[in-house]
Amino acid sequence: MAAAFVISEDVVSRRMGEEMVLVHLRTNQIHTLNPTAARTWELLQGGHGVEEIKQILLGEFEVEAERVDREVKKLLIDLERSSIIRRGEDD
Amino acid sequence: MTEPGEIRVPELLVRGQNAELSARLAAMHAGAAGTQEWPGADGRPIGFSGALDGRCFIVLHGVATYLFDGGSGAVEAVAEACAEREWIEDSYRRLALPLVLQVRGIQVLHASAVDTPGGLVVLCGFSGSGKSTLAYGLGRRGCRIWADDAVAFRVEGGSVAAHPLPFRVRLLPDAAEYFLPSSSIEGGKLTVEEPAAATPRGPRPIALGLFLESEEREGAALERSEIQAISPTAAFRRLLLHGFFFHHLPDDSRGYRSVILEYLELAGQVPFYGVRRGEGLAGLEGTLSAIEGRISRLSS
Repeated sequence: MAAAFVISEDVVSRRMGEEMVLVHLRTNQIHTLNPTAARTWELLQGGHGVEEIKQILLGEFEVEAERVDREVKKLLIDLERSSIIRRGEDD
Repeated sequence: MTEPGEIRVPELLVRGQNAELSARLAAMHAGAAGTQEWPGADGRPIGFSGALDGRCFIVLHGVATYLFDGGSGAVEAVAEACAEREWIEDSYRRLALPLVLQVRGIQVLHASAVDTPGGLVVLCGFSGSGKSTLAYGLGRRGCRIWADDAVAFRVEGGSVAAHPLPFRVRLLPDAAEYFLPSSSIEGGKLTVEEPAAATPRGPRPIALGLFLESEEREGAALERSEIQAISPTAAFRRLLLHGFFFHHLPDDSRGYRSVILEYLELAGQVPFYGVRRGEGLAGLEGTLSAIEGRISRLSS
């Protein structure tokens, strides 16, 4: 999975401590992200690609590569299903 | 749009009946095209709101239709037959004004508030949860009652500040009997003239937020009050339940995005706690003491 993702313009977010709150302004869905997912979101906002994000997370969190891989993949699927992100051009 | 500093409460201009306007709005509502129903405490509709010809409207059945826009001008109230001016003005303050302000970029919480040396303490809760009772009780213990039923706020320079609105304290019958046993109550609530409401007040930082919950646990009423911290993310979700929301923000307003961002800032900047207490007034003094204890930590 090497695609970069584009964040919907209809989403607002704010970090709250270690968590992140996302609100989709059209669906009114509210998502609360745990610390790893919150950092992933910030990196997505910064325009980082998926592989780059995984490497950064491995450097910042004491976590196994397999778990990072699994959690990032699940987060991206959830966010895409909720129309919070969409696939952009390959990075 | 409003400028930083104090907010101005729009003047209310009351006019006589307008049959043509009433008919247009009724037809619009019957067609269910872009109107927001307003349920009362018993679930029955008390009115509806929407936008027509570039202006926002709020219809309160048996009272008036309030017309306004996103600018800074006066709000027009078109009276319904037999509606007394006092009802029209009271309904404006309690029901219409919060939404007028939101269209003009200021958020309003369904809450009461008391002022303390450490900042404002906001008491959020649904109707009948005891907001006014607790605010009045804290007022008798030395806090200054600052708002009843509506707290306006906005983010200014990155900080959340509450802005004063005109108010009158309205106590439920049991609370009125408890605090003012010699009073006579006409209608559902006792209106208490609060001297602080008439004195000039500027914006105040919000230091603490409380969500009021009446709970029974496993069928038994709580014997003592509990105050527990609420995470910012949970506070944000709860705040949305206590905010006034106009569903037809005009294009020239700051829009829904700004509304949500301001609520996120409120939840992110202000510590919130849940206050659980039993039904009725039996544990009121204990609850007030528990809240006082939390307030004392603000200034220490």
